[in-house]
Amino acid sequence: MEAQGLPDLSARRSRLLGPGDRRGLILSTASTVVVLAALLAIFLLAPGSAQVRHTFFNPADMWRSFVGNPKAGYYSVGEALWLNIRMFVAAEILILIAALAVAIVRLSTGPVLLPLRVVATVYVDVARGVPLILVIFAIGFGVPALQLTGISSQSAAVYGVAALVFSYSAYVSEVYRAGINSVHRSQVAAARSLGLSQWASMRYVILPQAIRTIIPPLLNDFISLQKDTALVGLLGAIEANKAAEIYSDTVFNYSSYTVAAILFLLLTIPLARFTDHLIARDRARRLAGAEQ
Amino acid sequence: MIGRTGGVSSSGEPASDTGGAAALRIEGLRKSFGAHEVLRGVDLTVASHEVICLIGASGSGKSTLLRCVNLLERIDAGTIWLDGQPITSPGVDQNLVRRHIGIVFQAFNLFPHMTVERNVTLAPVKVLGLSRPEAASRAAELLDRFGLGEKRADYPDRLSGGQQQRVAIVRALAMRPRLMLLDEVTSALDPELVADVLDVIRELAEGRSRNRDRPLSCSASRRTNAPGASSGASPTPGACEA
Repeated sequence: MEAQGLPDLSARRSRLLGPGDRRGLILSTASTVVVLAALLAIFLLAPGSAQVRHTFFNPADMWRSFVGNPKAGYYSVGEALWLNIRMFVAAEILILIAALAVAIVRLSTGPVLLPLRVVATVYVDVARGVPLILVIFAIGFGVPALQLTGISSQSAAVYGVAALVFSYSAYVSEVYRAGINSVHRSQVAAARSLGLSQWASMRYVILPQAIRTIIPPLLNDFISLQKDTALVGLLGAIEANKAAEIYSDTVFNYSSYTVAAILFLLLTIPLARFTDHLIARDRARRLAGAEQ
Repeated sequence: MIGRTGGVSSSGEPASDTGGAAALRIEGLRKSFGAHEVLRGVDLTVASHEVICLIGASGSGKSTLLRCVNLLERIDAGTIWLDGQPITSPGVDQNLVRRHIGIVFQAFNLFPHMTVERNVTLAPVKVLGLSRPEAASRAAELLDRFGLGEKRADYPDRLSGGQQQRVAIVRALAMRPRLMLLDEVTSALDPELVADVLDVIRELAEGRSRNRDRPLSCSASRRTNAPGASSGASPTPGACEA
């Protein structure tokens, strides 16, 4: 290396915005305004702008599709979202349980569990490899056709949730597996050396640490899951996307889809912020006032 | 210096003298990792209340020997007895054995998601079946004794290395083990923190011998018959200068 010495580093800001950095604040505000204004100008000046604004962003249509009007033949997108939320919550709880079971089976080492391990591995390969939409069709149309008492007479939403659980559990089990593997082996040694059984080590030492690590990727999958509840509309369940589709088919205006999009956004953003909060709280609790 | 060695010390709360049966006896212990044979037929006997140290070059198998004793490694050949009972035979409940053997690791290995108190009480509650208040009072007593009383509610990340290692020692002691294995417990510490931890170990060793009217025995002359690894270094019980 040439003995040039370091360049002056004082002007380099590693943070997005240094505290008390007024010049940076003014610059970043200005550049943000310029970029947004440019994008808005392109949108407004485009040749088809008026048409798009009327079809996708008509406030009157947005409001009508949001509140719905059964007499006019369309449902409320806002109300239909409630079904998305219920499907999401039910699927999420089932996925968290099923995926953990799959992950633990795949991580097991005992020779007795080999058949289960093979089944779990094949399941993860298949469930991740088949497009979700095909799984929804297979379960949503296939299971009713079997004419099994009690099982074949459920609502479309139930089959939809089953399909979501089938598909997502495979992904989430891999997230669990990565999280469990990320806990250092020495933690297992420490737990087992105290006489804790394999299960107790997993329950009290490994999983709590693994779950802290995987909260962000887990949330990523669950945001995806929230959106994919819209696919259940394909089976005829009146969820937000289906309600928006019915509105657009009835009134020939796509603003209802914009409403659905905004509602999905309103669902996912708080979830993301909540997770950030959880991560920050856990970090602060463990590190608060760490002198050293 | 203990700081540079792995150590084996028998503690044993009630130390019922079982006719002079060794606290720990190892015969013909062999352990390989792949083609690399780390332990080549190690023989070792540790009497009750005896403190011995293993000295050897890095990679000569000191830690491996301790991990074998604690059944954290599957051994290839040989037998290990704890208080006269073979613990390496098939059918032995490993969890039952491990609760009687405390081990302290070089890197502390505290549970980072638990407070100091939870670290110390977890195994007494979940393994020994103590009630939470019982375990907490046992923990408080030990933590006070080792100058950690005020750290009970802290998370390990907030402690210095020396404090963390003392918590690790307390965590092992809270199980009231028959045997304590200390695996280079000061090698990861800053020099100024080493004294803290060595004081604790010295107190442990002396406490035992005082209670039992028995001198702390430092076996400088005994050797195992381990031919050692390819490096030529052998895990050898050596001088204990605690």
